[in-house]
Amino acid sequence: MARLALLLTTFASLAAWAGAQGPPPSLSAADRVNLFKANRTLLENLVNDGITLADADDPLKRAEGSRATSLTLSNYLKRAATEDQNPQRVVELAELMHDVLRDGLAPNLEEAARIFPPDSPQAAQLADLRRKSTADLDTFAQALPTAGKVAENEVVKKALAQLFDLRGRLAK
Amino acid sequence: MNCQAVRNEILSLPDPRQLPRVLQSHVAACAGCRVWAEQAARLESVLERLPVSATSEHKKAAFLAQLAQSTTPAKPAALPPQHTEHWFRQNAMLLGGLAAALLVACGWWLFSGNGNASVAESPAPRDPFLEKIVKRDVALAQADTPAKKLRALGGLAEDISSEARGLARIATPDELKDVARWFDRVVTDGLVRQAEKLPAHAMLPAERVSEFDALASQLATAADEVDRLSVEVPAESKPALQRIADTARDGQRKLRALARREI
Repeated sequence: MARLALLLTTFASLAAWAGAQGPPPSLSAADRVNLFKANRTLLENLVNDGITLADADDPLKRAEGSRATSLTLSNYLKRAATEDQNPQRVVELAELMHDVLRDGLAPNLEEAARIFPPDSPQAAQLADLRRKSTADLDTFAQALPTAGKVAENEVVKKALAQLFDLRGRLAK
Repeated sequence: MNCQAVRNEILSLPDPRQLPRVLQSHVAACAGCRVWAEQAARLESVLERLPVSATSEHKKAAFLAQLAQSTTPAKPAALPPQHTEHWFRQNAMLLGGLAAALLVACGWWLFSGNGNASVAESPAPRDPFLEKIVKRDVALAQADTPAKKLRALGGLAEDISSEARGLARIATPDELKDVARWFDRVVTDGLVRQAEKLPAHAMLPAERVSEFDALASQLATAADEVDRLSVEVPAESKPALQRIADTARDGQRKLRALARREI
């Protein structure tokens, strides 16, 4: 009997393990096409942002391109939070925007500050870009709902908090 | 075809994630069957991830032999205790299989929504293509050398051609046309233009040949893969795929020429 119990427990454990580990299940055809339809315009904008970024030859221009990409995402993020009231989409887009700010915009602002002398025209552009970038975040924060299922969702709160944590790094 | 017939068809498919066109048209128009098809596809994905022993073929043969030999007692409850234990020991494999089947059935029941566990509560799928494009944009924002820039653009082109292949059977011709246009933009206005305007001192000649040839080979592969797929897709999807193949070959030709250009 002990052997049988062990066998059953093993099966149950393996089934639970299989369900919990590894990458998320691949998309069904229906999911894939629905996601494409939902994101079609956003994807086109992001492809265009990528081409603009490819043309950028210095950190200041790459920072400007990154800001444009983050604005593209924030527009869709606002819509997901207000019109669609879709917490899962808000989290998805907030995390993507966070990556753009953390790995694209912020490092380029820091690199521009390092290479352009403080009294150069580029330094003035950099200061302006920092102001605009933080203002973008403030405007975005003000557009978010303060009540309802998006505002009260814990995962949304965490994703947005991580996003707004970057404000200080952009403003420096 | 009514809903019941469609659902039966979906269940009988070897892989419910690949719906034949005749089912796709019904599923696209029927919300109930769409949910059914999605759940069947998810179940297939979950089942795929169940671990399978490396010696499963032997075990299967032994299990089948044991099944053939075993005699199911008509009234196991009437057996004396020591016989019951013996019977359980003799049929441990059979019972284990039944337990596994029961677990799978429970999983199916949960996924199908009959157990209140929640199709509604399960997280909506994220868009991996969207995530890839954002990652490529971030890579372009970090690209501080021409080689990094070209590699990021090559990756972006690869992601788009791969998405085109994935959507070829399920997206509308207009949607595919958009994807083909994005591919064209990335190859022509991105890759080739950046390669053309690359300053002479930006790369060593050998590095230049190596980078450009690698990108050209990648485009050639994309063109071949799209060509192979073209014979299997509906006629109205072919022009978009053809445009991708043409763009890839044109980009490949230009990059090979630029790789060996006198500078």
